[in-house]
Amino acid sequence: MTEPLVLYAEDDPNDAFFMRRAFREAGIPNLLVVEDGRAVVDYLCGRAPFQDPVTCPPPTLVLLDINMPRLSGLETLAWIRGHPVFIETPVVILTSSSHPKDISRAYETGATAFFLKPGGATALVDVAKALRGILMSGQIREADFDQVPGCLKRPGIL
Amino acid sequence: MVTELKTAEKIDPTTAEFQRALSHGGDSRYVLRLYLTGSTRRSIQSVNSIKTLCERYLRGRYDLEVIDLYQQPERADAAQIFAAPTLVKELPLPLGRLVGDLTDSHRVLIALKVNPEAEDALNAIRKGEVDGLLIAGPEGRQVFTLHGTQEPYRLLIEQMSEGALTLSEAGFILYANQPMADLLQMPLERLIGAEFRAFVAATDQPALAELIGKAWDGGSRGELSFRVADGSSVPLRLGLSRLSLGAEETLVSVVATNLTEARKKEAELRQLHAVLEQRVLERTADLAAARLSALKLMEEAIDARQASETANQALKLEITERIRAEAAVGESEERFHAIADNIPQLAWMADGEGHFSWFNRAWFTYTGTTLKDNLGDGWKAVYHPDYVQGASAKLEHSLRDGLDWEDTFPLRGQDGQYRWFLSRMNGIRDESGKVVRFFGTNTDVTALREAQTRLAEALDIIARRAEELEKTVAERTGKLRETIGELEAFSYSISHDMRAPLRAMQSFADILIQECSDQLSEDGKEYIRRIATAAERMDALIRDLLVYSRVVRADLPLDDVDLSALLRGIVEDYPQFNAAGADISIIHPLPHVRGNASSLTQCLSNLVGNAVKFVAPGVRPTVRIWAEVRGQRVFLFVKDNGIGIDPQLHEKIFTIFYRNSRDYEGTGIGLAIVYRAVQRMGGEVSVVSEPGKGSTFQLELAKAPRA
Repeated sequence: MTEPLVLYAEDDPNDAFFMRRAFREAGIPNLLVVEDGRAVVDYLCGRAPFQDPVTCPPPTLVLLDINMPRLSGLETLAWIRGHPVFIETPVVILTSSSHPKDISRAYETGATAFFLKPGGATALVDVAKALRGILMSGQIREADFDQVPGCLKRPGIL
Repeated sequence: MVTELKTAEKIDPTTAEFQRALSHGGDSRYVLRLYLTGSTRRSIQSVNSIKTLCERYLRGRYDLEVIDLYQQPERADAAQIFAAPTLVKELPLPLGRLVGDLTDSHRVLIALKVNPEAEDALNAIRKGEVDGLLIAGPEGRQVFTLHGTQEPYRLLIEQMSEGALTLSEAGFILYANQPMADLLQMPLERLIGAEFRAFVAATDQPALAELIGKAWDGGSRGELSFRVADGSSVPLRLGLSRLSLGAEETLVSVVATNLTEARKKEAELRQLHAVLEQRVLERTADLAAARLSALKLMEEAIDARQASETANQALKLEITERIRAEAAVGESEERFHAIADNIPQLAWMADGEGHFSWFNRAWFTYTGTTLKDNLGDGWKAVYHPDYVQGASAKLEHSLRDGLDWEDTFPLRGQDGQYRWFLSRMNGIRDESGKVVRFFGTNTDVTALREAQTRLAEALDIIARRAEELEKTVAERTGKLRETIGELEAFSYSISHDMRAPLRAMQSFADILIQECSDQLSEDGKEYIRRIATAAERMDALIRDLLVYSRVVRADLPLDDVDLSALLRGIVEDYPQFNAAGADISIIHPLPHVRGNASSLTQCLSNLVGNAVKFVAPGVRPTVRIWAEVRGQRVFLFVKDNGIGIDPQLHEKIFTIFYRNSRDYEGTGIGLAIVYRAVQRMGGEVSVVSEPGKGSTFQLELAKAPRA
């Protein structure tokens, strides 16, 4: 089995940096960070610069920030859920917003899970470690994400 | 005396024979034919002899036909008769015949297979000629002596129409009369000597035994069903009594009356009674209905009487009025004029033809005219020129046709100014209904009209103002919506854009300590920790402010909220409560309340969080949560063993940014959120606390309607 690949859309370079570091610390080798939702769509469609199917295989998990230029996280999620190939791909929303509207809209659009970005690098490493456990199990179920720190369940609380 | 049953040896075979006769021969019917030839001496002797024998032994159960072969020779062939006299026994089978001397009774009886002794015994018993019977019972043979002194008794019961029998001590029937045999549908011969109890069903035997037992003590009465030959049962009323016949002999005498008819009569009677009762019920219902309608009629009558009284009263009043009116008219025209002169309205009169004849003083005063000025068409001069044509045309039309009239138009005053008048006129009729005079008034309505105009104007102004106000409200609402929208966008951007740099500060501080600590002095490390703490605090403030602004501003749809489930979820979902080693106990079940689930979650997690947080160092936080329902309100209590709050500060703690202690982490927003959220759900929050004695927070909320 090939190593799982996580595709992460994040426009904040700091957050991208922290995530790369957290994944490294957690021991997940394959994290590809792109700058926004449009890039995710390009990747999934095999458009340049993601045209090589060997270096750009289908992702095991997609992580999306909500607030991004060009194509927001929720718009990207809607596109993925409308695509016949990626309809089943696990998509996790990772954002600093705990607004109930964002949470409910994300789940309505088909998000697998909704995470609040943790404050501090150490906390993010804990998130990455929990994600690693899920990725390594080979089978990703929605319920697994409930155990990840910062996960906001479906009936979102304030 | 024919049969003597003195000793066991002697009477034994006879008795057996007797009993056999009773049980076998006794109940069959005999059909006999006697064939003769003319009226010879022998023929007459034969007929007499046979008749005597039959009467003696077969009474009631034989048919004897005497056939004279001279008259009916063909019968001889049919019956194969070759000599006369011949007696033929056709029934019971087998056929028997006897030719020759029929006067020898022994010979005849043998031919007829009649046991003369058994028949004689029965007759003897009946006649009281028997002194004793030997009867074979289950306990062997028993001798029953029948004393001669019984005879009067026998004679008596022979005459009775009721059934009667006598019973031995062992319950055997010693004697029975024919009606008894008829009742039990059994030949008398068989009845005598039978066990009485054999005629009642096993279930009735105790009752019979009791009756007989009592009879031995003197007497008893009762009713019992008896089984008879055809399988049916006959209800009998029994009267039993002890019968002493001399010193040595005591019997029980039983008299039985058939109750079948009585029962039938009783049933009929019952049925009749039921019918009668039904009739009575129906009749009662009829009566009740009749009573009701009678009451109603009475009420109607009372109503009618009242109505007629009222009508009478009205009539009386009318008559009085009329008399008074006529009197008044006849009395004094002048008096009427005097009254009319003193009213404030303008008034006038016209005769039956519509000619104006009189005006009151007010008219002259107002118009400044004289009577002469107004006569003919003169009155028209004071009508406003714009109205005179229309108003006077209508008035003249009414005068001509004798109609009532009403109009509103201006009249000129003596000062030349016009004022508005409401003018009315009525015709005054004589007895035949003809109008004999018209009476009219003009009432000044100028002030009223002005007031009405002003009112209309005022209403108009109000309507315009309301319209303007609505427009303003709509504009302001729009602006407010815009502002709210901006605020939403603002808080949204706070949550994203402002928190991102804070997160970066925290995270880089983390990384610095983790990765570069060997290049930092202790002071440097401390500074970095302070940067991280400050950033964290700022993040917490922003987070709480966002929640607060949402609680203050957002829609809070109210629903049925299960407090039990909500609190269980809070305690399970917030790991910090467990991390503090807190002992949190919830006294279930908690009621359902009307509230907003997410706001309540926020409130209760804040309260529980405070309860766990604000404890003295080294004290294990202990939190107890329970609820009470009082009427339609629910009171939820969160009690802790924390540091407590000075009563003077109880109001302050709910204001935003107020912090009771700098020794504990906090933004000073948590209780403000609770306060506003509970307020917006139509509830109240309060606290009972003293320093060092823990705190109890109380949330008062509405009970869920369905609960």
